[in-house]
Amino acid sequence: MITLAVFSLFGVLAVVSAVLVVVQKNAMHSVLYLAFTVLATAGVFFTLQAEYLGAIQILVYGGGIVVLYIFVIIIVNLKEIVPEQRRLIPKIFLVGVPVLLCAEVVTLVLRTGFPAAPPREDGAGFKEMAEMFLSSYLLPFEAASVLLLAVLVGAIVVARRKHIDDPD
Amino acid sequence: MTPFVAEFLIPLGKIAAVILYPMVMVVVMIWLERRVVALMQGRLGPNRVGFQGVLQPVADAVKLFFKEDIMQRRADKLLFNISPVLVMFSSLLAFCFVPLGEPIRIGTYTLTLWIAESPVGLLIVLGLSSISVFGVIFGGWASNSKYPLMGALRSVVQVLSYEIPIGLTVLTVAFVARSMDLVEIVRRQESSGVWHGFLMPVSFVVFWISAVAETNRAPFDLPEAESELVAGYHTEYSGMKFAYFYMAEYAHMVLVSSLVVILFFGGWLPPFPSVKALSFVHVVPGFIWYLIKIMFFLYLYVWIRATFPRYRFDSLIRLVWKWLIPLSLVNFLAVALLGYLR
Repeated sequence: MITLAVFSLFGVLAVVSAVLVVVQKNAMHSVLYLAFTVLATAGVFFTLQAEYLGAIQILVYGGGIVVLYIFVIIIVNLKEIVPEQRRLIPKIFLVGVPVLLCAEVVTLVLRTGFPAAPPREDGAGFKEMAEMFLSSYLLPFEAASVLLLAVLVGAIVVARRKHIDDPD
Repeated sequence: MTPFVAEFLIPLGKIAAVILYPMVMVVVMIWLERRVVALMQGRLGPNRVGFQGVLQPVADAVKLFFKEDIMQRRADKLLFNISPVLVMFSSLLAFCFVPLGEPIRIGTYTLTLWIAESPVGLLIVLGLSSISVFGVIFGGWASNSKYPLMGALRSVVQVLSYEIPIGLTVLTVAFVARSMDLVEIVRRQESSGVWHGFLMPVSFVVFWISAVAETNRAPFDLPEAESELVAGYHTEYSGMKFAYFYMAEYAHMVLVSSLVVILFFGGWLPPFPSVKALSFVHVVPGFIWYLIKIMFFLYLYVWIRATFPRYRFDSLIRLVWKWLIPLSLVNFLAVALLGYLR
């Protein structure tokens, strides 16, 4: 009962702040609501006993990606950006794609209903996931890390090029 | 014990304790810091209000409470008001996962001295403490003033950089304890008989340096370097909002000290448990041992502050990227290799 109440609270919070992210005119306010969305989603994960997912949500999205957004907004002075005039076809996409996605999610939910997950030991998913990463999904896991490394090296190369004479 | 007490009153009491305990420690810490730094610098420090000035933080709080709350006209109202709350929220919420002592048995009921135990507690605490960056950068930006913005940018660069060695050293602890559960990590140190700090001194030292930097404390207090940036990200704040930033910084220090004690120095465990002549250490409750240990690390914070001069910003960043991160990577490889060979 309490779990359901907490779940609903976080769910409503996530949806409301997600809507506010899009509606806001001020980019910094949007980021604030995005942070709320991320935290509320983490709360939803916690009430569903997906604790690892919740922790990663806070750590990666909250601590990393949202902070990156803030940085970009501060460095790119947003007052200078003029709202662009969109033509008809982009406008159709702008409305059509979310509507299609929404319809897809709704049909999927209606078709499968809400089957109850099998009960499992507390926190068991964390260990199983770690084992799966390093056994059956080893190749995709390693490929992803090599890709990230390549991106990191690329970023350093791009950043260093201007300061090639820098003695340090 | 009636279900009403067990399911309603005790959780309520725990929630109150999680809010009150850091606040009490903050009051103690502010007094301790002012007195100790004063004595180390050959001054007297506050010694008028109450015995040896212990009530000085209370007097300060009352003063701040009655101060005028100033917000300049061009500040961003929403962000300006919410950032002190965000900073405080992240520091206090993480305390839910900090085990303060051994579970106490009352008849058939077991009273645990923590609110939540999670198999990924360590990750959650690290994530929550990294959320305080939001408050700092929103506050600095919303003030619409140059010094706070500079302070906030410095703070974010510093905190994000120093999170990497923290993550890498925490990984070694999780590796040795084979768990990310804070309670389980303490239990492992009890069963193995060796505290992780003595098993992995390099991890401990790297973690401690990075933790001091992450709490924006001297000698790494660049975000609020008063000789360069007035007061950094909270320059424009006054009254209770400033007090929130101030208290959150100290609560964060208490949190980090608790983490060091739990990860590296056995949490609530007494020292020398196997020495017969010192068997009286078991009589002292675990909570007291925990308090003694975190007081040591809080004192260390003050000691470091009074001893070292402030770093320059580029050498601060060079320290983490050129020394601490490579060192913690090598350390992690060494711990993994030794653990595998053993």
